[in-house]
Amino acid sequence: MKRSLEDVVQVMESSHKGLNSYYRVALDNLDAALAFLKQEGARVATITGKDARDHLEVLYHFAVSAELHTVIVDLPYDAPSVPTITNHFVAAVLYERELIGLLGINVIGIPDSRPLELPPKYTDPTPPLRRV
Amino acid sequence: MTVAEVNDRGFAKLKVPIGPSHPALEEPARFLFDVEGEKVVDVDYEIGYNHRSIERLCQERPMPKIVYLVERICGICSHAHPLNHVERVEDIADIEVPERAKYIRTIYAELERIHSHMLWAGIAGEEIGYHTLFMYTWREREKVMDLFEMLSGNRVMHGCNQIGGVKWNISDEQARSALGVLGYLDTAADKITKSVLKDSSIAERCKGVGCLSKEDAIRLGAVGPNARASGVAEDTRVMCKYAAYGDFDLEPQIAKDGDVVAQALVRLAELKQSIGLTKELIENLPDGPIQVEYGEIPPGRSVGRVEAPRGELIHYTETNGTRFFERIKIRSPTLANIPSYVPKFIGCQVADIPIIAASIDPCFSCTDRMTVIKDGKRKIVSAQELKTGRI
Repeated sequence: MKRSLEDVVQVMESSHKGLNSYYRVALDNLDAALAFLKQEGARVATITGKDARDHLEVLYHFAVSAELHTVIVDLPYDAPSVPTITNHFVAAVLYERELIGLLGINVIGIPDSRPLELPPKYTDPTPPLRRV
Repeated sequence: MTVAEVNDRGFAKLKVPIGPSHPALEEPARFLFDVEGEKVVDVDYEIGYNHRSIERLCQERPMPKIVYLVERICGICSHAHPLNHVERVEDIADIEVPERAKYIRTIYAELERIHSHMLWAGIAGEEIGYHTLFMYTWREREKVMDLFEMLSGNRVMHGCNQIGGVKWNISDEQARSALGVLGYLDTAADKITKSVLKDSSIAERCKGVGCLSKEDAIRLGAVGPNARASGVAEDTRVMCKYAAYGDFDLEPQIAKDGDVVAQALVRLAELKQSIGLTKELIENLPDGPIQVEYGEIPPGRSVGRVEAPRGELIHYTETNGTRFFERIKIRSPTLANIPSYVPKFIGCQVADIPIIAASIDPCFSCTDRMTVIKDGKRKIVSAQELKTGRI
């Protein structure tokens, strides 16, 4: 990328190694970070949800040519929710549906909120990728 | 099939469910088509019929077992998954893999692409009723499977990758035999290409069917040959230069029409390219060790891509300093390609559904990633067992 995300958005923590860059941002700054990446020609590669025991993390991975840029946001363990990023990246809808089904994260404004992999009769209140 | 209403031209508006188990599909997925007469006007899809919770199991089992677990995500990409996995761990632990091991990994990766593209050509032939093409390509594909057996002892699960290098070396005798087989495959690939691209029946049956524009391919995040058939010149081998790909000049193989013929053009060009590249790799195989020793895996994270036969395969791996992974996330190429089904299907004829479904070379084992077979008995895994990993 011509410019760094750190020049545009307040980043709480960042690290770089090889083709990979990671930026931890506050949830309030997520939209600005994604708007910047979109401007730089990024495409959504995938989204990872993670149970970090005392909180949840969502890692948005973006590809810009050979580079991969990951934007990380922390979420509370109870009632976690993130805004949808489909306003910037239409292709993110399947990855957001994975977050809903496998980690129980509410994605606000997602055009299709059906869990992706789980059967409709999956009624266990704890999502499969949560540590219990 | 249900009749919803009749449109102004007198065609019934129907909802046609196809799948999860249907003769038109090679693997389980459910499509719900809205059709007017013979024309598809909308489509919805549902996946998850192969979900095996492998990502959860990756957190519950000790590190050395995970290479074997990710190898079993998919029977076709049984090298691409472990290759990406070991590269992620090596990146975290700064393990420098010997050159010879990188070349051997790349040879397996290219052989995987050769057999996968041949498999696709056969299935595509069968979907349009061209059974001769199916029989012919699958006969030639057997040579690649035999080659795998000669090199690794196994046709499908090669067990080649391990952290720090590879398990199986290639002897001079094996290299000579492999070059002989590749010479045969080169001729066979020319025959397959000619029989597909010069055949007027295939052209008439597939030209303009299942089109995906370049703009839609980019917007919907399509990857691999599916995107390249629409003119998106992105190939992870060329961009990221992982394994030994940095030592060779490769060009992404692209077409522009985005239809089934363009999909064939790209895959057949890649078939020839992979055969040539594999020959070069074997002829230039460096001497030296195939494995380095390594110490403890420190805490860290790595995300990376490899070009599986169906496109860009992403692994995100996080370690925490224990003998268990903190998180492994896998994004298969088919998942990225599923949204591109919508523009491909809308406007097509019902009879075109099977070939369009097959055209992106879908793999739902990779995509869904729950049935465990133990001691010959089939067992359905409960939600509780999934969570605890005691399967």
